[in-house]
Amino acid sequence: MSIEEARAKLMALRDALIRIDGINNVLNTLPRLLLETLLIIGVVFGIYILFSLWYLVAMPVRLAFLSSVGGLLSIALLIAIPANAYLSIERLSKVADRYDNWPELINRGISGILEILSTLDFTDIEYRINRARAGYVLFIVVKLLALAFLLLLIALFVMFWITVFLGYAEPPMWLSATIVIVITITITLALEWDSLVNDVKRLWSLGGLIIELRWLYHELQGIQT
Amino acid sequence: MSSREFRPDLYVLARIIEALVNNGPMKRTRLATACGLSYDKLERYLNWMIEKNLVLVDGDGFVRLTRDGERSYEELVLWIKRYVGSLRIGKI
Repeated sequence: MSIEEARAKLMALRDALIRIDGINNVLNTLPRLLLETLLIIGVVFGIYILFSLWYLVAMPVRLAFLSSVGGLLSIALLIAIPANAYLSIERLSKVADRYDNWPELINRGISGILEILSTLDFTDIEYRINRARAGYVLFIVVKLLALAFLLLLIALFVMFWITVFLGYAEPPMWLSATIVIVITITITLALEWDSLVNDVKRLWSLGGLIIELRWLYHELQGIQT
Repeated sequence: MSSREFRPDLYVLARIIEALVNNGPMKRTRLATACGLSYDKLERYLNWMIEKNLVLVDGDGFVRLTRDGERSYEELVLWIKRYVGSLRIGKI
């Protein structure tokens, strides 16, 4: 074993902890994201209802306009909400600034490595690892659902224009729906497959990481005394 | 604060020893700069280290590592190689 290997191991530990913090960030934000979504839906439809009431009083004969506005608003929300959810999860899962000084400390030498280890809160890290493991399924399900929903809308749009282009007055519903769903699932998995596989591996590795950290903490206590 | 009550941080001790290993004997002021410590804090650490025979201050005021100090540094390096280097942590 060399000091270089020890440095590489600490950098790998840093990457793992950043990922764990990212998952925890997302888990912390999910309730807020849900509230924001409900609030946006409530505000948009509230304004729409008020506008409709005013419109019905002012111009009661042109009702088709109202349904068009309602349809457009629904489509905008159907696109904006999953897009916001997916992008928020992507952004939050990469934010972890508490390890910014690690590369500098690691390059400083053994004193830097010892500073990192001595100042690590092993109990808190263990808690965050366990929380990330427990909430990981929720994290990945919400992320994949948001992406799949967006892709579903795009696939439906494309399918609609294909059937129009091919001249189908009444396209076969079950066939269209099956094709759209298969395409959506395929593209979602194609886009997220690498991330999904890495995440499953990560999930398995986190258990080992807890044991490794406990062992390191024990040894560090030994050398400090 | 007396030296007996003083509980040094391991990584600060390592920082002082590492500075002396890399740069050789140094005056206190330069050592404090090299370690990124205030002069007062360095003084407290040096007193503790002198008591434990890890460093000594020669007649010209240079701080030097003793044989025990050098051995401590080697032990720290070995500890890091052994324990941190053998962590079974992949690119997770």
